[in-house]
Amino acid sequence: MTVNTQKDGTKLTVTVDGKLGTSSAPELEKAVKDNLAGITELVFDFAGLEYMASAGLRILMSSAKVMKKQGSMRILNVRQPVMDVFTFTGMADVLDIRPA
Amino acid sequence: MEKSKRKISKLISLKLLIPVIVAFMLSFVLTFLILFQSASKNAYDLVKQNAIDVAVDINEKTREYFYQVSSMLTGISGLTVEEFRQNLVENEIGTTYVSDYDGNIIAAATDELMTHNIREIPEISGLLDELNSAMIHEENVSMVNMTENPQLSLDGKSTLYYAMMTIKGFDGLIVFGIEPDEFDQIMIGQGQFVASNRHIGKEGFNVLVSSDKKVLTTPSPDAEFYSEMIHSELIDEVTNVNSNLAVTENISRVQNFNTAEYEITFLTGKDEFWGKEYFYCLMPVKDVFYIYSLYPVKEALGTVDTTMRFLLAGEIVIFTVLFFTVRFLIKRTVVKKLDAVNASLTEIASGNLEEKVEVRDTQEFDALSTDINATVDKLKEYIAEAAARIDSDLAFAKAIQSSALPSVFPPFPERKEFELYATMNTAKEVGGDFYDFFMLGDSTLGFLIADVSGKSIPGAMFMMTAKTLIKSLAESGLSPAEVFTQANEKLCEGNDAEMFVTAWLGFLDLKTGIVRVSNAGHNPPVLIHEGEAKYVILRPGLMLAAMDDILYKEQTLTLQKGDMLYLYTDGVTEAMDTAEALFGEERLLKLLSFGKNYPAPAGDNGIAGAVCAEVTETLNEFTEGAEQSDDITMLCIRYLGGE
Repeated sequence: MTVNTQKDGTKLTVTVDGKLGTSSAPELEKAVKDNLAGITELVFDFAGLEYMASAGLRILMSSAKVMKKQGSMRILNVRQPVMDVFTFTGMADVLDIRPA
Repeated sequence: MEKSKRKISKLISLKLLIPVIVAFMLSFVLTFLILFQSASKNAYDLVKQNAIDVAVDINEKTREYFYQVSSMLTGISGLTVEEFRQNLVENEIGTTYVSDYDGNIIAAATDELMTHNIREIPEISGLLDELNSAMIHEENVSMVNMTENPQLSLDGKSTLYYAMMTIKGFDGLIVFGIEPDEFDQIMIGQGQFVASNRHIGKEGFNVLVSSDKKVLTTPSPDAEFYSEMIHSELIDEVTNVNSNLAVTENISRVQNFNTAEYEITFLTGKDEFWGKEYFYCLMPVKDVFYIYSLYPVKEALGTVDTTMRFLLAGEIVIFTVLFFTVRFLIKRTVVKKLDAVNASLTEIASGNLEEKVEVRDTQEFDALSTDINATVDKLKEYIAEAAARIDSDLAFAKAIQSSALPSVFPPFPERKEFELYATMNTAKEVGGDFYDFFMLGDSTLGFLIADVSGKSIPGAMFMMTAKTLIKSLAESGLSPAEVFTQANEKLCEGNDAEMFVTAWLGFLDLKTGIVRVSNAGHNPPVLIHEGEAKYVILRPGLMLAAMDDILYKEQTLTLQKGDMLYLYTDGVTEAMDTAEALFGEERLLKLLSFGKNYPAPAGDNGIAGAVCAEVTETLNEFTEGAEQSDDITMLCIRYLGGE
């Protein structure tokens, strides 16, 4: 799994490629936590994300909690398998998630 | 941080430099002082000896002068004693006598004088004895002796210096007197000759000074010097009987086969003469004149200068070599060894605890190596103990988890309406999955499966909280949706650890087979109806403890007689094989599509138990060789219909 972050003023774009599982989750968590200060717009680009386990959900949920106070968050280009997970967990109703 | 610390070699160089420089300067200065003292002493000795030589020489030369005169008087003309006496009578020379070796006068100007003995003249007596003792050794010696001081003449009329001599061929001792002034003049003449002719070293010389402190000789034919008085205060000092500075010594010289004793008085020092610095010795000769022996300081210390230059060069070389040798030795014995120790320590610090420090050249490093290795071994012990403790903590958490879940199967053996079986296999990292089931009233079975996001002990604790909460809310008569709504609120409170829990809760009416469901973001369970497996897709609610103020919805599904509901957590679908491929939802569904071949009942737990066993076994085969990454939890219910 690879994580790339790009800051554009107060907008942070986090691009995740590969598989987000229990072992790779900490890397994503660190990347988000390290860069979240002062961000008002958090965007996740999951175009390259093939698969996401529950560990990934936790990170998204805590990011959403933070951004609820700081600004907005959305998840873009979500592939079907990942979208399914969002649907099953009810997160699709609560978060701003756009399919690919 | 490292850069601001100095290296040992630099520190030593700095700290060594100062003592070395001090030692160098001390030895240099000390040597200089010793050489200087030695050269000075030599110079003083030199001028003193020179002054003595000059004084003695002047005496000698004066004596010789008189001898020459007397020889001329007698020897050339070959006079006899009688002829000499006639000469004396004719010329009325009353102060010259001839005596025999006993002192009796055998020739004089008057008869009266011939009755005397020359021993009547005090010092002459001494001279006669000396002469007699000398003649014991040698016969026919020509000798001149002189009185030290003026003596009263035989006729009592004058005070004269007396000279006594023997002459070859003349049969008697000639004794003649000389007027003091005449004597002085002769002496000065001789003195000038001697002084001018004698040099000290290269540029040292003697200066004769008259009794009235006038310079009589000079190293250069410069008329100017003649009248100049030089350091008359020194002359006053040396003639002062009570002088502190003047030294009186007794010296002896061999003269005419005799050892002559002299008493000399002199003054030595260092002063400026005619614009130049000299070591001097000032010596009075009788009271006729003074001798200054002068030796230039520059010449005297010249050798010191040269020696010191060589010494400087030599010492610089020696001390430089010494300095670098010490530095080199320290680098080799200490610095190099320390680097070796550090290299090993770096290896250890990077994680290789098997590395040993083996620098054992010297006792100190040997001890250091042993101590470091012992320390590392001790640390390894502590690490092992700590790891064991953590393992036991994990085991403890697992025990909490396992013991919290109902594990007695079948749980309600008297109820014939259903079969129920559940398992939970924890991963190494305790995951917090749980299941639960309980009777709600007489005809409703509540059951649930849940997955907590937190790990280890915090996860286990959160799991306990959630489980207890849900059960107590359910038992208080709320609907599944209401249970979740309220549980969610409670779990959101004080959820600093940000743990979440997905859950699927169902209330099965045992009479009707209707299941009231609330789903909080959990994996859809599998419904097996007449051998066909299908996922139960219901509108999901958000996972619990994620966000507060969520209203959960209730949904229903109906179980027919023989239907099975298989609940699981993502540990099942996300189980990985060695190639990191997932077990997946499809494979699960396929596995549970029994068709006509349901697994044989597993004892009291019936087919529900058998299904769980089969899934577990299949998963084990699938994940063979790979490590279990998540808890694997499942709950299976088979509805057998109401009464």
